[in-house]
Amino acid sequence: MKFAFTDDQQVFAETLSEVFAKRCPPEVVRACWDSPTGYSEELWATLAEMGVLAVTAPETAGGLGGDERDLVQLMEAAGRAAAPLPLLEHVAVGVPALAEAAVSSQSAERWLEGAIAGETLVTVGISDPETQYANYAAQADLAILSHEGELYAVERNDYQAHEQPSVDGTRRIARVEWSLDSATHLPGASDGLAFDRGATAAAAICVGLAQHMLDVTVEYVKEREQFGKPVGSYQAVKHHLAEVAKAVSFARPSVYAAAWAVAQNTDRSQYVSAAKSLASDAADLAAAKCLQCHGAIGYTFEHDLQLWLKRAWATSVSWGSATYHRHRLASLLGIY
Amino acid sequence: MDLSFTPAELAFRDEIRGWLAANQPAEPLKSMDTPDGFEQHREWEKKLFAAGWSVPAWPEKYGGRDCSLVEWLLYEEEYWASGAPGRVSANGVSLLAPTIFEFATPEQQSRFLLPMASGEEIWSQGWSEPNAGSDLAALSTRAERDGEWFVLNGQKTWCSRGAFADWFFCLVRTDPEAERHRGLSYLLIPKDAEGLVVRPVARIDGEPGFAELFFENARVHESNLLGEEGQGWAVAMATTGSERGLNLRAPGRFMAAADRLVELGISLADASNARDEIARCWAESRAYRWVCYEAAERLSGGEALGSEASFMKIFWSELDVAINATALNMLGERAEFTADAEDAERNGAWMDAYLFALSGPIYAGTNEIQRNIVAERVLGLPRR
Repeated sequence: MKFAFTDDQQVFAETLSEVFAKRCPPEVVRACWDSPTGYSEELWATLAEMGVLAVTAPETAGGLGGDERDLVQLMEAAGRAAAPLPLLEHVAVGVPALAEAAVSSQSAERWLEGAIAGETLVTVGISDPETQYANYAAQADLAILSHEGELYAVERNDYQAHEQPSVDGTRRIARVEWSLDSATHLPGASDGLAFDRGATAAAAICVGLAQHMLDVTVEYVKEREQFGKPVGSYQAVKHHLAEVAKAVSFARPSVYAAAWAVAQNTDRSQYVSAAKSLASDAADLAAAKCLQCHGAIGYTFEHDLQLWLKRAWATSVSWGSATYHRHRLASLLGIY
Repeated sequence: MDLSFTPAELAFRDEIRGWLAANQPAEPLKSMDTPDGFEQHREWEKKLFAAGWSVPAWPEKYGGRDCSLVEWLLYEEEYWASGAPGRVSANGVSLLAPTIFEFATPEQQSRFLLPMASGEEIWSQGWSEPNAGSDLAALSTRAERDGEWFVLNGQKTWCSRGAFADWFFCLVRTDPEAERHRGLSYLLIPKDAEGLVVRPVARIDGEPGFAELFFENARVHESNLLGEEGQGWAVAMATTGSERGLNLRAPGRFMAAADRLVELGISLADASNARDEIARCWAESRAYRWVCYEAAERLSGGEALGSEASFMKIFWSELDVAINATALNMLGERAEFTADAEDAERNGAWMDAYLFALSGPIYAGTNEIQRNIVAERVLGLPRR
C-alpha cells in the first residue's frame, strides 16, 4: 500500500505546474475564448516539446510508457490553471486507444506516431455511451468514435463537425456526423476502458478546478472588508469554504485511487464512478460557494472567476455527471 | 503509487479475519450501556486481549502486536465487516492511550496500559461540564493542592460509558488565577475516589450511556497527574487529534455500514428511489478509506496530522448519519420499529445505529467548531 507518487512523477507534476503558472495565466485562458481553435497552440507546442503528448504511449512506439498514474497530477494541474488544451481528449484517451490498436493496425500505428509528435491532433467522441459530440472535433485531425462497444478512427475529411457553442468559451464541442464506411476499426481498444480513462482525467481536472477556485476565494475573503472587518472572519463564509475544502480533500485521494485502478484494471469502473461522482460534486460545490463568497464581483464577465466556474460546470457533467456515475456505481454494486 | 497490499499485510488481514470468524460471540451482546451488556462487552475485550487482538497497534509489552498503521486500518476493516461487538474500551484505547504514550511517566505507563488493553479497567472521558461544551476552555472544576493530593470540587457531564466505567480521564482547573487554556491539568481519577459521586444519565435511546460526575472535596493523588501541572490543555489537545482523526473512527466501520446498506438495497425488490443515495454513501465510505490510507502513509513518514483531523471528523460523522438515514428511508413504514417488533429489519439495528450516529456531529467538538478550525487553521481565515 503506497499512495505516494514516484520522484519522477512528482518532478513531472511540479514542472508542469510551473509551466502552467508561467505560460497559462488567466489572460491566456480568456484569449482562447476568441481564438479559432479554442486552445493555446503555443502552450500545446511547449507541452509537445516536453514530451507530454508521449506520456501514455508505449516505449516501443517512441513514447514514455506511462499510465494513468503518470497523468493524474498533470490533469489536476491543468484544472488548477483552467488550461485550454485538448489534454484529456488527446493524451488521456486518444493516445492510449491508438497504442492498443497499433499492435495490429498499421493505420493506428501511423496515427499514433503523428499524435505523439504533435502533428495529428486526436479527439474522442465517447464522453457518454450515447453521445454525438466531441470537443475540438472541427479542429482535430482524427476523431475516435464508438459504435456498438467498438472504437473507430475517422480522419477529419471523412466526418462533419457542427460546432455547438458552450457556456465555456474555450470549449469547441461539435456534433459529429460520420459513417462506418469511412471509419477504421481500432482492434484491441475498448470503449469502456476509454470512457473510464476520460472520466478519470475529467475527475482530476475537476479537483484542480475546485482547488483553484477555493484558493482564490480564500484570498479574496481575507481582503474584502464589510462592516469593518474581512468577510472571511464571518462564520457563514468560513463554513462555506470549509465545506469546499473538505469536498476537495476527500475527492482527491479517490481520484488518485481511480487512476491506479484504471492502470491496474482492478474493479476499474467502480473506482472511476466513485471518483468522478465525488470530484464532480466537489467542482459544483466549489463553483457555487466560491461565486457566493465573491458576491457580485464574481458574477461579472470581467472577473476571472467566471473562467473557472464555466469550465467547472462543463467538466462536472461531461464524461458522466455525478448522478450518472452514482447510478452506474449502484448497478455495479448490484442495486436495481 | 500502488494500492495493493503486500503479502505480509494480506497475511495479517487473513489472520484477523480467521480469528474473528472462529471466535465471534454466538449471540449478539446486549447494549454496552446496560449493566449486563457492559460486562458482556468487557468479557469480549478480555477474549480479544488474550488472543493479542485488542490493541494490535500497541507495543508487544502492553499487549499489542506493534502492527503498522496500514495493518491497523486493515484490522479495523475486518473487525467491522465481521459484525463483531462494539468496543466498550474505545474511549480509553483511542483517546487516552495516545496521550499516555506521549506524556505519561514510565510508572504510569506500566500501571495503566495493560489493564486498559485487557478490559480490566474501562475508561470514560470527563471533560465537558454543564457550562463548558464547545467552549471547553471555560471549564471550572477546581483541583486545589493539598500536599501530595489534589482536592476537587465541581461537575463533569456527558461522560460516555461513565455509568459503569472504572476510571475517568479529566481536565480540571488547578490555577484559578490563570485564564482559560492556562492553569488546567489532566488527572486520572478512579471511580471509587473519595468524594466522587457518579450519576448515570439516560441517552436519547433511554440507556444510561452517559454519566455525570460530582466532585465534593474529592481526593486524587498527584501520581495520577498526566503531564505537568498547568499543562493540561496541551496534553489534552494531543488527544483531540486522535479523537477527530482516524484513531477513534477508522474507515472500516463506515465501509462495513455502507456495505450493509448496499445489501439492504440488493434485498429490496425495487431500490430505484434510493440508488443515488446508496451509491453516494458507498463512494464516500471509500473516499474516507483512501484519505486514511494516504494519511497513514504520511504519519508513518513522521508527518503530523494536525488540523486535517477536523475534516475527518466532519466527514465520518455526517457520513454515518447519511448511511443510517438512507436505510431508514428505504425501510419506509418499518423504519420506526424497535428490536421488540416482530417485523423489524435486523432487530431495529438501523434505528439504533441512526440514534447513535446522531451524536457524532455533536461529540468531540461539534461540527460547527470543526468547520471553524478548518477555516482558521487549514485555510488561514481570520479568527475575528
